[in-house]
Amino acid sequence: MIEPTHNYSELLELAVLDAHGLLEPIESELFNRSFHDAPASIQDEIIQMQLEFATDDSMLPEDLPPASLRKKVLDAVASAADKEASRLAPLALIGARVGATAARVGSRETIMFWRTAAMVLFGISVVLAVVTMDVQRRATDINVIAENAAANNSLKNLTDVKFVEFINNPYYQVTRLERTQGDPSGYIRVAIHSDTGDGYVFGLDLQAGEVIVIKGTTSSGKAVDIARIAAKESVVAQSFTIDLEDIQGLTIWGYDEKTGVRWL
Amino acid sequence: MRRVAIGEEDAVAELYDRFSALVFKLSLQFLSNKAEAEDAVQEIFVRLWKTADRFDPRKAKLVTWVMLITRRHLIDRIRRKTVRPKQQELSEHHGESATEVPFPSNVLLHEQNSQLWKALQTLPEMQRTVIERAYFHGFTLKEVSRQLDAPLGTVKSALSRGLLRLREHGSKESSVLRP
Repeated sequence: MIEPTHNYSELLELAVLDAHGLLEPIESELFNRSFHDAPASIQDEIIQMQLEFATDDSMLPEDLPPASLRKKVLDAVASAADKEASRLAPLALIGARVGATAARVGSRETIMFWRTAAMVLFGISVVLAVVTMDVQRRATDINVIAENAAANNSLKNLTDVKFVEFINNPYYQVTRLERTQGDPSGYIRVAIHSDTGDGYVFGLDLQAGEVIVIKGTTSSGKAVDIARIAAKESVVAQSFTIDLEDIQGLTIWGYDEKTGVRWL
Repeated sequence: MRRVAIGEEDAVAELYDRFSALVFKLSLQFLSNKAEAEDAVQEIFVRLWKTADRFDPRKAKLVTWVMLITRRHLIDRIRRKTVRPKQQELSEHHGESATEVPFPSNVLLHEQNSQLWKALQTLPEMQRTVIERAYFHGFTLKEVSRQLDAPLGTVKSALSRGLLRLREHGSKESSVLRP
């Protein structure tokens, strides 16, 4: 790993490029680390400079968005949230869109109940999915594979023992990553148990040959290597463990090792 | 942003009301087509919703973060949809000078971007070239470095200095225009 030893002028240079979205993921990561290591006065200077870039509309067209665009945008966000919920089945309910009314009236107990229920249903759906794959791949007796024990064993073979615990545990923090460009199908979910530091990376419908590096940035700017998954099959999974002190405020992201495409 | 992250409609609406004008204007600058800009704005707000939980108020102001996501999305969109000239084509069309480039799509020719076009002409050739290629063509900095046969550090420095000078130019222009 390259040490982020940027001097003052390099840091300001990178800050300009960062403000314009021109840094590649790894450079952006190094910039973030240097930013957090910099004295407060320089951090303030960078924040102010990037703010000026963000709010400078002197070179922008004067056109304003049409009034009709507001509804389109709100509909698009709502649609994306609903799609997210339906694609991920029950698991997607964790952190998925909550209507304004529901958010106001939902109690912690109710939320935990539904999260638990969602996790259980997700566990069932994953087990069934793996059973189906197992049937296709091995052409074995579906009656045998459909049994829960056999399904769990298949799942353990595909991943490892912890994954079964993962799909049945509602206390994992789950982050979903998608490609920022290219084929929109496929996603990666990263789950971390906040009490143990145990985690799981689960990739579904990745492109053949894709190699994705999953990383995290702590709230203090420290970079954490989480996993590197190679898409040898349509479903890939991998366990990992990170330090408990790194979990709070951890931002998870990834990039394609071959193309550099970001996963956010 | 925490409320946006969990998909509260009121919070998303508030985010739109605060930043839609800036996001739309920047989209229009990149795409020069209102229909495309409107599509991009929708995609950008979906992306803002998806990444809302990553906003760190200790590192940047909210508007900075919104515009960063906007710029990244627009650059990604250009990279995804624009057929960009290859290095060989750039050389063939522009003789021996590797720093001469064609106009990046129709962005800089669009009348809405005439001020930007004029400002770019005030920059040294190297700075203008890297801004056009990296910012409006969507080439990565490594690609620009290879195209110009210049060290990556030189490209970064030229790009950074050029963007700073553009902002200074814009500040002067707007201070002249303001009463």
